[in-house]
Amino acid sequence: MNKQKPVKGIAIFCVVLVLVLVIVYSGLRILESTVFNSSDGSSQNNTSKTITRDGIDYFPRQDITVLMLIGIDRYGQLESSGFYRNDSSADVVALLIFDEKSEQCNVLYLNRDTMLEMPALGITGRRAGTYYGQLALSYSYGSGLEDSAELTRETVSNFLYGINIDYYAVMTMDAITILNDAVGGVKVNVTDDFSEVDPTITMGEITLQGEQAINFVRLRRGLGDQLNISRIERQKEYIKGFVEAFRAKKEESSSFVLSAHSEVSPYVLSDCPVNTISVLMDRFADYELAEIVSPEGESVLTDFYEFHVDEEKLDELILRLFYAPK
Amino acid sequence: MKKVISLLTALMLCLTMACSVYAVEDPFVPSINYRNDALLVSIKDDAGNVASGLLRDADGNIIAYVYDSCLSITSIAEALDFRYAMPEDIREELVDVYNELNDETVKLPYDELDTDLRPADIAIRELIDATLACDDHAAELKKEGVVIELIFDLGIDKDASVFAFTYIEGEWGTIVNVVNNGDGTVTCTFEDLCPIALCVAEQQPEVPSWVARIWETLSNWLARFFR
Repeated sequence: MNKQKPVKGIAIFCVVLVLVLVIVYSGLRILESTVFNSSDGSSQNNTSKTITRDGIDYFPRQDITVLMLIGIDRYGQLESSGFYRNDSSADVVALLIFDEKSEQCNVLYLNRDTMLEMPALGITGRRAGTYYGQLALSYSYGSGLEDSAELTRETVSNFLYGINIDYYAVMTMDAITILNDAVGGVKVNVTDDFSEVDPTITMGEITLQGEQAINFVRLRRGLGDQLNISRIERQKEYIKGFVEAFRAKKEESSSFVLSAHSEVSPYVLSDCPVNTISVLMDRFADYELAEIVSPEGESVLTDFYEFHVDEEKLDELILRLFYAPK
Repeated sequence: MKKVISLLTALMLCLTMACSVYAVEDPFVPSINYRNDALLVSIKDDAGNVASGLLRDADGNIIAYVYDSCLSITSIAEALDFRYAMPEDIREELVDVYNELNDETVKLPYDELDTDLRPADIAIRELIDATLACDDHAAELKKEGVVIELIFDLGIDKDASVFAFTYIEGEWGTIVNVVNNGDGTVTCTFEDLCPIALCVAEQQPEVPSWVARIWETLSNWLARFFR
């Protein structure tokens, strides 16, 4: 009988000790998660995204809506590759920044050859580190649908200090023809000699119709210096012309947007629901197109072209477009 | 004879003109660099010729350079795309292996790796087949201690952890000698060529927190107390 008492006492001591240790451990874990995670730099709250330059704090602007346009280098409807890779690339990446304060729209046009880090997918579709390469390739990870668009969104966002990109719209080349013709053609000033590649596109002012629009924004070979930078200038010229034609058409008949949408939808993929598109149209259609800017940098020729941005100037551009001083 | 000479002269003239046409460099640089698939990085042999890899003996001496015509590299992306022509046995094996890994009926032996990383942190970045097409190289590689060294451009971060596995006779085995060169490329040394899985860690090893360290100390203390 006497022997049982010390055994029982040790057992109770052990149980109590284990309980105390569990409570202490849990308490420390809770303390750690509350105290330390609140200062985690990866947090998505705006305070953590504050940037300080020359003693001035800048915070992300809340009065802008950002829509990312992705033009991919393929014809036909958007289809899944059924695999972790697809053979499309983002030939055009442009951010439309709608500024509610000034009622203006700025366009940040990114060079598709921009060299940057992008999230890479492994063969089973899981994240597998990063890949350093041209921005256009960010779309080639994933099936070619939403997952690819999300990867391009993440790549661009990371490149621009984690800015919020509200919506994206991916389009194949067929969409250009449809939209171009829906607004009644797009007037541009042609400064390159297209005679060898499309003789119907003549020098000087011309209203592009159908396939001409694709040839104007897409072709590089046989045109001037054949560089992507020159093509970007043509694409900027096209955007300006498109916005003007869009406004004029909207004045004429606002219902054309809906009819164009149904025609173009098989060639467009967006995370923006139709009713939101309608709201955005109403809110932003009359905004003035303020400027179309591109990050400055240097094109370097390896086997292909690589565009290396001027980090200092990019910093200024990001602050100007997406941040406001406190 | 005169006719032959004039014909030859005309032919020479045509050839010269054609050469001068081709000698004008086309300034057009083709589209973007599709480097997403594991790309074999070329090396130079002693004479400055381009080679795809090299064979080393057990002491690390170079036995032979392997040239493009002697080495065939096929990625799973190519194998799954029937537009690419390739030997059917290679396609079949690569696709089978891919399906097993994709539906997780077979898992890579991550537990054999000398790392603190959890299997959940490691993902298969590329699956490729490498085959030696030249018999003399294949015979060399079968010898004791002989290895083949290949460099792949994965475009990975300089600090990324990278691992490689080979599929030999129905079993996945770990490749010990894998080096992240810090410029996006990886050097792998293989004892045999076959399907190769190149893996990258999504996260760095978790650093034990101060709570975990206290817990570890307490556990050790308890273990000693009850011993």
